[in-house]
Amino acid sequence: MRLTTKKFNNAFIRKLLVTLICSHFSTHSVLANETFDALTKDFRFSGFGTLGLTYNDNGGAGAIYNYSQTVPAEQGFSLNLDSVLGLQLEWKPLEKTSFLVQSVARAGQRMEPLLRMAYVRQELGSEVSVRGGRFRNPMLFDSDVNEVGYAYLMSRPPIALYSIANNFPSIDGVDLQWRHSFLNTAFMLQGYYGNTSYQHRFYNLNPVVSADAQINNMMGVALSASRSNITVRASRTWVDSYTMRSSAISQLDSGLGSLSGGLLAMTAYPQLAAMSPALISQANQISGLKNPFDNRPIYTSVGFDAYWGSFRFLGEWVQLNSQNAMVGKYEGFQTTIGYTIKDFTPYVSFANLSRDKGSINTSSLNGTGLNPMLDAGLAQMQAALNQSAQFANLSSQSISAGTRWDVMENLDMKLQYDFVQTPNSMTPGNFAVSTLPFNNHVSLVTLALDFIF
Amino acid sequence: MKFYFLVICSVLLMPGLVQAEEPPVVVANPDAGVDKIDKSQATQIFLRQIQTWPDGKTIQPIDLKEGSELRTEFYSKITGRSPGQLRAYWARQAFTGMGVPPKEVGNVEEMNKVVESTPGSIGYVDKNEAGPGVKIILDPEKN
Repeated sequence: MRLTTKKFNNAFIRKLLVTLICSHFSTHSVLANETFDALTKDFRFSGFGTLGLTYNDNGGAGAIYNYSQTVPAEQGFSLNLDSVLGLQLEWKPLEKTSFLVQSVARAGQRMEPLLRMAYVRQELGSEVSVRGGRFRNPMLFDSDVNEVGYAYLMSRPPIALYSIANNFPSIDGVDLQWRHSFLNTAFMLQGYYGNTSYQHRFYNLNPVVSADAQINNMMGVALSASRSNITVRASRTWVDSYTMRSSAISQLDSGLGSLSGGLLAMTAYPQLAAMSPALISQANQISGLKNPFDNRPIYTSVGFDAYWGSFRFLGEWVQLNSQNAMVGKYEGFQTTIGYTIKDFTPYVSFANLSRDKGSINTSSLNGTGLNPMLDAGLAQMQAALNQSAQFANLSSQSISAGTRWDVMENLDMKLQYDFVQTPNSMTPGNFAVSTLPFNNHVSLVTLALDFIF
Repeated sequence: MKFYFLVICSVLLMPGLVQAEEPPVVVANPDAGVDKIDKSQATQIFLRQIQTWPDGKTIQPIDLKEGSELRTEFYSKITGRSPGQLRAYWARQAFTGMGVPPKEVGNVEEMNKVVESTPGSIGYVDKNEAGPGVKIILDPEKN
Protein backbone atom coordinates (compact mmCIF):
# COMPACT_ATOMS: atom_id res chain seq x y z
CA MET A 1 0.00 0.00 0.00
CA ARG A 2 1.22 3.46 -0.83
CA LEU A 3 1.07 6.37 1.50
CA THR A 4 -0.42 9.36 -0.21
CA THR A 5 -0.80 8.46 -3.82
CA LYS A 6 -3.18 5.68 -2.96
CA LYS A 7 -6.38 6.48 -4.73
CA PHE A 8 -9.69 6.20 -3.08
CA ASN A 9 -10.59 3.10 -5.01
CA ASN A 10 -11.73 0.56 -2.51
CA ALA A 11 -14.72 -0.94 -4.29
CA PHE A 12 -16.85 -1.40 -1.23
CA ILE A 13 -16.26 2.09 0.08
CA ARG A 14 -16.84 3.54 -3.37
CA LYS A 15 -20.16 1.77 -3.67
CA LEU A 16 -21.15 2.83 -0.19
CA LEU A 17 -20.29 6.43 -0.94
CA VAL A 18 -22.10 6.25 -4.25
CA THR A 19 -25.23 5.38 -2.36
CA LEU A 20 -24.71 8.01 0.31
CA ILE A 21 -23.50 10.93 -1.78
CA CYS A 22 -25.37 10.45 -5.00
CA SER A 23 -28.71 9.95 -3.35
CA HIS A 24 -28.56 13.69 -2.84
CA PHE A 25 -28.06 14.31 -6.52
CA SER A 26 -30.13 11.84 -8.42
CA THR A 27 -32.38 8.85 -8.15
CA HIS A 28 -31.03 7.44 -11.41
CA SER A 29 -28.26 5.00 -10.64
CA VAL A 30 -26.32 5.50 -13.90
CA LEU A 31 -26.20 9.22 -13.42
CA ALA A 32 -25.42 8.67 -9.76
CA ASN A 33 -22.38 6.55 -10.59
CA GLU A 34 -21.11 9.09 -13.10
CA THR A 35 -21.62 11.88 -10.62
CA PHE A 36 -19.85 9.87 -7.99
CA ASP A 37 -16.88 9.06 -10.21
CA ALA A 38 -16.52 12.73 -11.02
CA LEU A 39 -16.69 13.62 -7.34
CA THR A 40 -14.36 11.01 -5.91
CA LYS A 41 -11.69 10.41 -8.51
CA ASP A 42 -9.38 12.84 -6.79
CA PHE A 43 -9.87 11.69 -3.23
CA ARG A 44 -6.85 10.44 -1.37
CA PHE A 45 -7.22 8.62 1.93
CA SER A 46 -4.20 7.95 4.12
CA GLY A 47 -3.17 7.60 7.71
CA PHE A 48 -0.42 7.14 10.24
CA GLY A 49 -0.05 5.68 13.65
CA THR A 50 2.26 4.73 16.46
CA LEU A 51 1.91 1.96 18.98
CA GLY A 52 4.43 3.06 21.57
CA LEU A 53 5.07 1.24 24.82
CA THR A 54 7.03 3.32 27.32
CA TYR A 55 8.58 2.28 30.60
CA ASN A 56 8.97 5.09 33.12
CA ASP A 57 11.13 4.38 36.17
CA ASN A 58 9.99 7.41 38.18
CA GLY A 59 7.02 7.29 40.53
CA GLY A 60 6.75 11.05 40.95
CA ALA A 61 7.04 12.26 37.37
CA GLY A 62 4.48 11.30 34.75
CA ALA A 63 5.84 11.54 31.21
CA ILE A 64 3.72 13.83 29.06
CA TYR A 65 3.73 14.89 25.45
CA ASN A 66 2.05 18.20 26.27
CA TYR A 67 0.07 19.86 29.04
CA SER A 68 -3.27 18.75 27.57
CA GLN A 69 -2.48 15.11 28.17
CA THR A 70 -5.28 13.61 30.22
CA VAL A 71 -3.43 10.45 31.22
CA PRO A 72 0.34 10.80 31.76
CA ALA A 73 2.65 7.83 31.30
CA GLU A 74 3.18 7.10 34.99
CA GLN A 75 5.71 4.74 36.57
CA GLY A 76 5.81 1.36 34.88
CA PHE A 77 4.64 0.48 31.40
CA SER A 78 2.27 2.72 29.51
CA LEU A 79 1.00 3.33 25.99
CA ASN A 80 0.10 6.93 26.78
CA LEU A 81 3.17 8.89 25.71
CA ASP A 82 3.49 8.15 22.01
CA SER A 83 0.57 6.03 20.86
CA VAL A 84 -1.50 7.83 18.28
CA LEU A 85 -3.68 7.12 15.27
CA GLY A 86 -4.17 9.69 12.51
CA LEU A 87 -6.49 9.61 9.50
CA GLN A 88 -6.37 12.01 6.59
CA LEU A 89 -8.64 12.66 3.65
CA GLU A 90 -7.63 14.95 0.83
CA TRP A 91 -9.81 15.98 -2.07
CA LYS A 92 -8.46 17.81 -5.09
CA PRO A 93 -11.48 18.76 -7.19
CA LEU A 94 -9.53 21.24 -9.29
CA GLU A 95 -5.97 21.36 -10.57
CA LYS A 96 -4.95 24.07 -8.12
CA THR A 97 -7.49 23.65 -5.34
CA SER A 98 -7.55 21.02 -2.62
CA PHE A 99 -9.26 20.31 0.66
CA LEU A 100 -7.68 18.33 3.47
CA VAL A 101 -8.97 16.99 6.78
CA GLN A 102 -6.82 15.21 9.34
CA SER A 103 -7.93 13.85 12.68
CA VAL A 104 -5.84 12.18 15.37
CA ALA A 105 -6.59 10.21 18.48
CA ARG A 106 -3.94 9.94 21.18
CA ALA A 107 -3.85 7.26 23.84
CA GLY A 108 -2.76 9.93 26.34
CA GLN A 109 -6.02 11.71 25.67
CA ARG A 110 -8.19 8.60 25.91
CA MET A 111 -8.32 8.29 22.10
CA GLU A 112 -10.64 11.25 21.87
CA PRO A 113 -10.68 12.40 18.22
CA LEU A 114 -8.91 15.72 17.72
CA LEU A 115 -9.01 17.75 14.52
CA ARG A 116 -5.44 18.60 13.53
CA MET A 117 -5.97 19.91 10.02
CA ALA A 118 -8.99 21.08 8.03
CA TYR A 119 -8.11 23.53 5.33
CA VAL A 120 -8.58 24.58 1.77
CA ARG A 121 -5.43 25.13 -0.25
CA GLN A 122 -5.30 27.28 -3.32
CA GLU A 123 -2.27 27.50 -5.57
CA LEU A 124 -1.71 30.95 -7.02
CA GLY A 125 0.54 30.48 -9.99
CA SER A 126 3.37 27.98 -9.88
CA GLU A 127 5.26 29.25 -6.82
CA VAL A 128 2.67 30.58 -4.40
CA SER A 129 -0.01 28.80 -2.43
CA VAL A 130 -2.31 29.83 0.38
CA ARG A 131 -4.08 27.72 2.97
CA GLY A 132 -7.05 28.76 5.05
CA GLY A 133 -8.49 26.80 7.96
CA ARG A 134 -6.73 24.67 10.53
CA PHE A 135 -3.18 23.54 9.85
CA ARG A 136 -0.30 22.13 11.88
CA ASN A 137 1.79 24.55 13.90
CA PRO A 138 4.92 25.44 11.90
CA MET A 139 6.57 27.34 14.75
CA LEU A 140 9.64 25.11 15.20
CA PHE A 141 11.58 22.91 12.79
CA ASP A 142 9.69 19.74 13.70
CA SER A 143 6.62 21.11 15.46
CA ASP A 144 4.35 20.16 12.56
CA VAL A 145 5.53 16.56 12.32
CA ASN A 146 6.00 15.46 15.89
CA GLU A 147 2.94 13.21 16.02
CA VAL A 148 3.91 11.34 12.86
CA GLY A 149 6.42 8.91 14.31
CA TYR A 150 7.16 7.26 10.97
CA ALA A 151 8.27 10.58 9.51
CA TYR A 152 10.75 11.24 12.30
CA LEU A 153 14.08 9.58 12.98
CA MET A 154 13.59 9.24 16.74
CA SER A 155 10.58 8.17 18.77
CA ARG A 156 9.67 11.84 19.07
CA PRO A 157 11.36 15.24 18.86
CA PRO A 158 13.08 15.73 22.25
CA ILE A 159 10.36 16.68 24.71
CA ALA A 160 12.86 18.69 26.72
CA LEU A 161 12.99 21.17 23.85
CA TYR A 162 9.60 20.75 22.23
CA SER A 163 7.67 21.23 25.47
CA ILE A 164 7.42 24.89 24.50
CA ALA A 165 5.55 24.09 21.28
CA ASN A 166 3.65 20.84 21.83
CA ASN A 167 0.76 22.48 23.67
CA PHE A 168 -0.74 23.87 20.50
CA PRO A 169 -0.24 21.45 17.63
CA SER A 170 -2.55 23.35 15.26
CA ILE A 171 -3.41 26.91 14.30
CA ASP A 172 -6.71 28.21 12.96
CA GLY A 173 -5.93 30.84 10.39
CA VAL A 174 -4.14 31.30 7.09
CA ASP A 175 -0.68 30.68 5.78
CA LEU A 176 1.03 31.67 2.60
CA GLN A 177 3.90 29.74 1.03
CA TRP A 178 6.21 31.04 -1.62
CA ARG A 179 8.65 28.58 -3.17
CA HIS A 180 11.45 29.79 -5.35
CA SER A 181 14.73 28.28 -6.44
CA PHE A 182 17.85 30.30 -6.81
CA LEU A 183 21.51 29.27 -7.11
CA ASN A 184 20.67 25.57 -6.86
CA THR A 185 18.90 26.24 -3.60
CA ALA A 186 15.17 25.78 -3.08
CA PHE A 187 13.77 28.46 -0.82
CA MET A 188 10.43 28.43 0.90
CA LEU A 189 9.07 31.46 2.65
CA GLN A 190 6.07 30.77 4.83
CA GLY A 191 3.99 33.38 6.59
CA TYR A 192 1.27 32.32 9.00
CA TYR A 193 -1.35 33.94 11.12
CA GLY A 194 -4.05 32.56 13.39
CA ASN A 195 -5.46 31.69 16.76
CA THR A 196 -5.62 28.51 18.76
CA SER A 197 -6.69 27.18 22.13
CA TYR A 198 -6.19 24.16 24.33
CA GLN A 199 -6.84 22.84 27.81
CA HIS A 200 -3.79 23.39 30.01
CA ARG A 201 -3.74 20.96 32.90
CA PHE A 202 -2.24 21.88 36.24
CA TYR A 203 -0.92 18.54 37.45
CA ASN A 204 0.17 20.03 40.77
CA LEU A 205 -3.42 20.57 41.87
CA ASN A 206 -5.40 17.79 43.48
CA PRO A 207 -7.66 17.05 41.74
CA VAL A 208 -5.95 18.15 38.53
CA VAL A 209 -7.75 21.13 37.01
CA SER A 210 -7.58 22.58 33.53
CA ALA A 211 -7.30 26.15 32.38
CA ASP A 212 -8.68 27.44 29.09
CA ALA A 213 -5.55 28.54 27.27
CA GLN A 214 -6.26 30.94 24.43
CA ILE A 215 -3.64 32.08 21.93
CA ASN A 216 -4.75 35.02 19.82
CA ASN A 217 -3.12 36.85 16.95
CA MET A 218 -0.25 34.46 16.45
CA MET A 219 1.85 35.65 13.56
CA GLY A 220 5.01 34.15 12.19
CA VAL A 221 7.40 33.83 9.35
CA ALA A 222 9.68 30.94 8.42
CA LEU A 223 12.35 30.74 5.75
CA SER A 224 13.81 27.44 4.70
CA ALA A 225 16.61 26.80 2.25
CA SER A 226 17.12 23.31 0.85
CA ARG A 227 19.91 21.84 -1.18
CA SER A 228 20.05 18.20 -2.12
CA ASN A 229 21.44 17.05 1.22
CA ILE A 230 20.60 19.77 3.70
CA THR A 231 17.65 21.90 4.77
CA VAL A 232 18.15 24.92 6.99
CA ARG A 233 15.13 26.68 8.46
CA ALA A 234 14.75 29.83 10.54
CA SER A 235 11.50 31.08 12.01
CA ARG A 236 10.14 33.72 14.31
CA THR A 237 6.64 33.75 15.79
CA TRP A 238 4.94 36.50 17.73
CA VAL A 239 1.88 35.92 19.90
CA ASP A 240 -0.11 38.98 20.78
CA SER A 241 -2.07 37.37 23.58
CA TYR A 242 -1.60 34.03 25.40
CA THR A 243 -4.09 33.85 28.25
CA MET A 244 -5.14 31.22 30.76
CA ARG A 245 -8.45 31.23 32.55
CA SER A 246 -9.71 28.73 35.10
CA SER A 247 -11.56 28.59 38.37
CA ALA A 248 -8.23 28.18 40.18
CA ILE A 249 -6.83 31.28 38.51
CA SER A 250 -10.05 33.16 39.26
CA GLN A 251 -9.64 32.24 42.94
CA LEU A 252 -6.06 33.46 42.81
CA ASP A 253 -7.18 36.73 41.22
CA SER A 254 -9.93 37.07 43.77
CA GLY A 255 -7.43 36.59 46.61
CA LEU A 256 -5.09 39.15 45.08
CA GLY A 257 -8.03 41.54 44.75
CA SER A 258 -8.96 41.06 48.40
CA LEU A 259 -5.40 41.66 49.56
CA SER A 260 -5.07 44.71 47.38
CA GLY A 261 -8.40 45.99 48.70
CA GLY A 262 -7.31 45.30 52.26
CA LEU A 263 -4.20 47.46 51.79
CA LEU A 264 -6.24 50.26 50.24
CA ALA A 265 -8.72 50.05 53.13
CA MET A 266 -5.90 50.63 55.58
CA THR A 267 -5.15 53.99 53.99
CA ALA A 268 -8.46 55.19 55.44
CA TYR A 269 -6.98 55.07 58.95
CA PRO A 270 -5.71 58.56 59.90
CA GLN A 271 -2.87 56.99 61.91
CA LEU A 272 -1.51 55.43 58.71
CA ALA A 273 -1.78 58.58 56.60
CA ALA A 274 2.00 58.82 56.30
CA MET A 275 2.13 55.30 54.90
CA SER A 276 -0.71 55.79 52.43
CA PRO A 277 1.42 56.32 49.31
CA ALA A 278 3.43 53.18 50.04
CA LEU A 279 0.29 51.15 50.76
CA ILE A 280 -1.39 52.37 47.56
CA SER A 281 1.72 51.48 45.57
CA GLN A 282 1.86 48.03 47.15
CA ALA A 283 -1.86 47.51 46.45
CA ASN A 284 -1.36 48.41 42.80
CA GLN A 285 1.59 46.05 42.49
CA ILE A 286 -0.49 43.24 43.97
CA SER A 287 -3.29 43.95 41.49
CA GLY A 288 -0.69 43.73 38.75
CA LEU A 289 -0.05 40.10 39.71
CA LYS A 290 -3.52 39.05 38.55
CA ASN A 291 -3.70 36.50 35.73
CA PRO A 292 -0.05 35.64 36.33
CA PHE A 293 0.25 33.26 33.36
CA ASP A 294 -0.91 35.71 30.69
CA ASN A 295 1.97 36.49 28.38
CA ARG A 296 2.99 37.65 24.91
CA PRO A 297 5.59 35.13 23.80
CA ILE A 298 8.04 35.42 20.95
CA TYR A 299 9.46 32.16 19.61
CA THR A 300 12.64 32.00 17.55
CA SER A 301 14.10 28.90 15.97
CA VAL A 302 16.98 27.97 13.69
CA GLY A 303 17.30 24.34 12.70
CA PHE A 304 18.73 22.01 10.12
CA ASP A 305 18.43 18.48 8.79
CA ALA A 306 21.42 17.17 6.84
CA TYR A 307 22.54 14.00 5.12
CA TRP A 308 26.20 13.17 4.63
CA GLY A 309 26.73 9.72 3.20
CA SER A 310 25.19 7.34 5.71
CA PHE A 311 25.18 10.01 8.40
CA ARG A 312 22.17 12.08 9.33
CA PHE A 313 22.45 15.24 11.41
CA LEU A 314 19.60 17.15 12.99
CA GLY A 315 19.96 20.26 15.10
CA GLU A 316 17.95 23.19 16.34
CA TRP A 317 18.33 26.20 18.56
CA VAL A 318 15.24 27.82 20.02
CA GLN A 319 14.43 30.79 22.16
CA LEU A 320 11.20 31.61 23.95
CA ASN A 321 10.75 35.07 25.35
CA SER A 322 7.37 35.08 27.08
CA GLN A 323 7.70 38.70 28.22
CA ASN A 324 6.25 37.51 31.51
CA ALA A 325 8.16 36.91 34.71
CA MET A 326 6.03 33.95 35.76
CA VAL A 327 6.40 32.05 32.49
CA GLY A 328 9.99 33.15 31.96
CA LYS A 329 12.48 33.27 29.14
CA TYR A 330 14.08 30.12 27.74
CA GLU A 331 16.87 29.09 25.45
CA GLY A 332 17.50 25.60 24.26
CA PHE A 333 18.95 23.37 21.60
CA GLN A 334 18.98 19.81 20.39
CA THR A 335 21.51 17.91 18.35
CA THR A 336 21.04 14.44 16.92
CA ILE A 337 23.32 12.17 14.93
CA GLY A 338 22.22 9.01 13.15
CA TYR A 339 24.04 6.50 10.99
CA THR A 340 22.20 4.24 8.56
CA ILE A 341 23.35 0.66 8.08
CA LYS A 342 20.95 -1.05 5.68
CA ASP A 343 17.55 -0.91 7.40
CA PHE A 344 18.88 0.21 10.77
CA THR A 345 19.64 3.74 11.87
CA PRO A 346 21.10 3.98 15.35
CA TYR A 347 21.14 7.50 16.76
CA VAL A 348 22.06 9.59 19.77
CA SER A 349 20.56 12.91 20.74
CA PHE A 350 21.10 15.59 23.33
CA ALA A 351 18.63 18.33 24.17
CA ASN A 352 18.65 21.13 26.68
CA LEU A 353 16.16 23.83 27.64
CA SER A 354 17.14 26.41 30.26
CA ARG A 355 15.11 29.13 31.84
CA ASP A 356 16.83 32.39 32.69
CA LYS A 357 17.37 33.16 36.34
CA GLY A 358 14.72 35.85 36.54
CA SER A 359 11.44 34.92 38.17
CA ILE A 360 8.25 36.57 39.24
CA ASN A 361 8.78 39.31 41.82
CA THR A 362 6.42 38.69 44.72
CA SER A 363 8.02 41.22 47.09
CA SER A 364 4.83 43.26 46.94
CA LEU A 365 3.30 40.43 48.98
CA ASN A 366 5.77 40.90 51.83
CA GLY A 367 4.07 41.45 55.19
CA THR A 368 3.18 44.99 56.22
CA GLY A 369 3.61 44.52 59.96
CA LEU A 370 0.37 46.43 60.43
CA ASN A 371 -2.28 43.74 60.55
CA PRO A 372 -1.55 40.11 61.44
CA MET A 373 -4.53 38.77 59.48
CA LEU A 374 -3.62 40.73 56.38
CA ASP A 375 0.02 39.68 56.70
CA ALA A 376 -1.00 36.03 56.99
CA GLY A 377 -3.02 36.40 53.78
CA LEU A 378 -0.09 38.10 52.03
CA ALA A 379 2.29 35.36 53.11
CA GLN A 380 -0.09 32.67 51.94
CA MET A 381 -0.50 34.32 48.56
CA GLN A 382 3.25 34.85 48.21
CA ALA A 383 3.87 31.18 48.89
CA ALA A 384 1.19 30.19 46.36
CA LEU A 385 2.67 32.38 43.63
CA ASN A 386 6.24 31.30 44.33
CA GLN A 387 5.15 27.69 44.17
CA SER A 388 3.32 28.33 40.90
CA ALA A 389 6.50 29.86 39.51
CA GLN A 390 8.42 26.73 40.54
CA PHE A 391 5.86 24.49 38.83
CA ALA A 392 5.96 26.63 35.70
CA ASN A 393 9.67 26.01 35.16
CA LEU A 394 10.13 23.79 32.09
CA SER A 395 13.95 23.62 32.25
CA SER A 396 15.29 20.16 31.54
CA GLN A 397 17.83 18.27 29.54
CA SER A 398 17.77 14.87 27.95
CA ILE A 399 20.13 12.42 26.40
CA SER A 400 18.64 9.78 24.15
CA ALA A 401 20.00 6.77 22.34
CA GLY A 402 18.13 4.37 20.17
CA THR A 403 17.72 2.77 16.82
CA ARG A 404 15.19 2.89 14.04
CA TRP A 405 14.60 -0.28 12.10
CA ASP A 406 12.72 0.02 8.81
CA VAL A 407 11.10 -3.38 9.13
CA MET A 408 9.11 -3.31 5.93
CA GLU A 409 7.46 -0.90 3.57
CA ASN A 410 5.51 1.65 5.62
CA LEU A 411 6.44 0.16 8.99
CA ASP A 412 9.31 0.90 11.33
CA MET A 413 10.23 -0.16 14.81
CA LYS A 414 12.12 2.00 17.28
CA LEU A 415 13.80 1.25 20.54
CA GLN A 416 14.85 4.34 22.47
CA TYR A 417 16.27 5.13 25.87
CA ASP A 418 15.89 8.64 27.30
CA PHE A 419 17.50 9.97 30.41
CA VAL A 420 15.84 13.24 31.38
CA GLN A 421 16.78 15.45 34.28
CA THR A 422 15.72 18.85 35.50
CA PRO A 423 18.11 21.31 37.19
CA ASN A 424 16.97 20.38 40.68
CA SER A 425 14.27 18.60 42.64
CA MET A 426 12.18 21.81 42.78
CA THR A 427 11.99 22.11 38.98
CA PRO A 428 9.43 19.78 37.38
CA GLY A 429 10.38 20.43 33.74
CA ASN A 430 7.92 18.94 31.26
CA PHE A 431 6.61 16.25 33.60
CA ALA A 432 3.30 15.76 35.34
CA VAL A 433 4.50 16.36 38.89
CA SER A 434 2.04 16.67 41.76
CA THR A 435 4.38 17.63 44.59
CA LEU A 436 7.75 19.26 44.95
CA PRO A 437 10.47 18.32 45.69
CA PHE A 438 10.53 15.26 43.46
CA ASN A 439 13.09 12.83 42.09
CA ASN A 440 14.26 14.85 39.11
CA HIS A 441 15.99 11.99 37.25
CA VAL A 442 13.74 10.10 34.87
CA SER A 443 14.59 7.16 32.64
CA LEU A 444 12.26 6.24 29.83
CA VAL A 445 12.53 3.19 27.60
CA THR A 446 10.31 3.18 24.54
CA LEU A 447 9.51 0.43 22.09
CA ALA A 448 7.42 1.80 19.25
CA LEU A 449 5.90 0.60 16.00
CA ASP A 450 5.22 3.40 13.53
CA PHE A 451 3.19 2.85 10.41
CA ILE A 452 1.65 4.75 7.55
CA PHE A 453 -0.87 3.73 4.96
CA MET B 1 35.09 -25.48 -19.28
CA LYS B 2 32.57 -25.14 -22.08
CA PHE B 3 29.80 -25.47 -19.48
CA TYR B 4 31.13 -22.55 -17.43
CA PHE B 5 31.54 -20.47 -20.58
CA LEU B 6 27.89 -21.12 -21.49
CA VAL B 7 26.73 -20.27 -17.98
CA ILE B 8 28.64 -16.99 -17.98
CA CYS B 9 27.34 -16.07 -21.43
CA SER B 10 23.79 -16.93 -20.41
CA VAL B 11 24.03 -14.79 -17.31
CA LEU B 12 25.44 -11.85 -19.23
CA LEU B 13 22.74 -12.11 -21.82
CA MET B 14 19.87 -12.28 -19.33
CA PRO B 15 18.17 -8.97 -20.02
CA GLY B 16 17.11 -8.25 -16.44
CA LEU B 17 20.57 -8.65 -15.01
CA VAL B 18 22.24 -6.72 -17.76
CA GLN B 19 19.77 -3.90 -17.28
CA ALA B 20 20.27 -3.86 -13.54
CA GLU B 21 23.93 -3.05 -14.05
CA GLU B 22 23.10 -0.06 -16.23
CA PRO B 23 22.90 3.13 -14.21
CA PRO B 24 19.57 4.94 -14.40
CA VAL B 25 19.47 8.11 -16.43
CA VAL B 26 17.12 11.03 -15.94
CA VAL B 27 14.85 11.72 -18.88
CA ALA B 28 12.54 14.62 -19.58
CA ASN B 29 9.84 15.69 -21.96
CA PRO B 30 11.47 17.24 -25.04
CA ASP B 31 9.83 20.57 -24.20
CA ALA B 32 11.36 20.75 -20.72
CA GLY B 33 13.22 24.01 -20.31
CA VAL B 34 16.66 22.42 -19.75
CA ASP B 35 18.97 20.05 -21.57
CA LYS B 36 21.13 19.12 -18.63
CA ILE B 37 20.81 18.97 -14.85
CA ASP B 38 23.13 17.71 -12.13
CA LYS B 39 22.48 15.22 -9.34
CA SER B 40 21.72 17.93 -6.86
CA GLN B 41 19.05 19.43 -9.09
CA ALA B 42 17.58 16.00 -9.80
CA THR B 43 17.35 15.38 -6.07
CA GLN B 44 15.57 18.66 -5.51
CA ILE B 45 13.18 18.00 -8.36
CA PHE B 46 12.23 14.49 -7.24
CA LEU B 47 11.84 15.67 -3.64
CA ARG B 48 9.64 18.42 -5.10
CA GLN B 49 11.69 21.15 -3.51
CA ILE B 50 12.04 22.71 -6.94
CA GLN B 51 8.69 22.76 -8.71
CA THR B 52 9.27 24.89 -11.81
CA TRP B 53 11.62 24.78 -14.76
CA PRO B 54 13.72 27.88 -15.42
CA ASP B 55 11.09 29.04 -17.95
CA GLY B 56 8.43 29.00 -15.20
CA LYS B 57 6.59 25.90 -16.37
CA THR B 58 5.57 23.36 -13.75
CA ILE B 59 7.79 20.31 -13.31
CA GLN B 60 5.93 16.99 -13.24
CA PRO B 61 8.23 14.36 -11.71
CA ILE B 62 7.21 10.78 -12.44
CA ASP B 63 8.27 7.89 -10.19
CA LEU B 64 8.35 4.17 -10.67
CA LYS B 65 6.29 2.22 -8.18
CA GLU B 66 7.86 1.50 -4.82
CA GLY B 67 9.64 -1.84 -4.76
CA SER B 68 11.09 -1.35 -8.22
CA GLU B 69 14.84 -2.07 -8.25
CA LEU B 70 15.44 0.80 -10.62
CA ARG B 71 13.67 3.23 -8.31
CA THR B 72 15.75 2.08 -5.35
CA GLU B 73 18.92 2.40 -7.41
CA PHE B 74 17.93 5.83 -8.71
CA TYR B 75 17.26 7.27 -5.28
CA SER B 76 20.31 5.61 -3.78
CA LYS B 77 22.71 6.80 -6.50
CA ILE B 78 21.20 10.16 -7.35
CA THR B 79 19.74 11.41 -4.07
CA GLY B 80 21.71 9.34 -1.57
CA ARG B 81 18.52 8.30 0.21
CA SER B 82 17.38 4.83 1.14
CA PRO B 83 13.78 3.69 0.50
CA GLY B 84 13.05 4.07 4.21
CA GLN B 85 14.41 7.61 4.32
CA LEU B 86 12.43 8.49 1.26
CA ARG B 87 9.18 7.13 2.70
CA ALA B 88 9.81 9.05 5.90
CA TYR B 89 10.41 12.21 3.88
CA TRP B 90 7.10 11.85 2.01
CA ALA B 91 5.25 10.93 5.18
CA ARG B 92 6.41 14.21 6.61
CA GLN B 93 5.34 16.17 3.58
CA ALA B 94 1.98 14.44 3.28
CA PHE B 95 0.88 14.56 6.92
CA THR B 96 1.91 18.15 7.43
CA GLY B 97 0.11 19.23 4.28
CA MET B 98 3.31 20.49 2.70
CA GLY B 99 3.46 18.28 -0.37
CA VAL B 100 2.60 15.05 -2.09
CA PRO B 101 4.96 12.58 -3.76
CA PRO B 102 5.34 12.38 -7.54
CA LYS B 103 2.88 10.45 -9.65
CA GLU B 104 3.82 6.80 -10.11
CA VAL B 105 3.90 4.52 -13.10
CA GLY B 106 4.24 0.76 -13.18
CA ASN B 107 7.22 0.20 -15.46
CA VAL B 108 9.85 1.79 -17.69
CA GLU B 109 7.70 1.48 -20.79
CA GLU B 110 4.95 3.45 -19.13
CA MET B 111 7.51 5.93 -17.82
CA ASN B 112 8.73 6.64 -21.37
CA LYS B 113 5.17 7.05 -22.58
CA VAL B 114 4.10 9.40 -19.78
CA VAL B 115 7.25 11.54 -19.94
CA GLU B 116 6.95 11.80 -23.72
CA SER B 117 3.33 12.90 -23.59
CA THR B 118 3.30 15.12 -20.48
CA PRO B 119 4.71 18.63 -20.83
CA GLY B 120 7.18 19.51 -18.08
CA SER B 121 7.56 15.92 -16.96
CA ILE B 122 10.75 14.23 -15.82
CA GLY B 123 11.45 10.62 -14.98
CA TYR B 124 14.20 8.02 -14.95
CA VAL B 125 14.88 4.84 -16.90
CA ASP B 126 17.70 2.43 -17.56
CA LYS B 127 20.14 4.07 -19.92
CA ASN B 128 19.52 1.58 -22.71
CA GLU B 129 15.75 1.87 -22.34
CA ALA B 130 15.32 5.60 -22.87
CA GLY B 131 12.61 6.00 -25.49
CA PRO B 132 13.05 8.02 -28.68
CA GLY B 133 10.44 10.55 -27.55
CA VAL B 134 12.30 11.66 -24.40
CA LYS B 135 15.58 13.42 -23.86
CA ILE B 136 18.30 12.37 -21.43
CA ILE B 137 19.16 15.30 -19.18
CA LEU B 138 21.30 13.52 -16.60
CA ASP B 139 23.60 10.59 -17.22
CA PRO B 140 25.50 9.94 -13.98
CA GLU B 141 28.27 8.15 -15.92
CA LYS B 142 29.00 11.34 -17.83
CA ASN B 143 28.66 13.79 -14.92
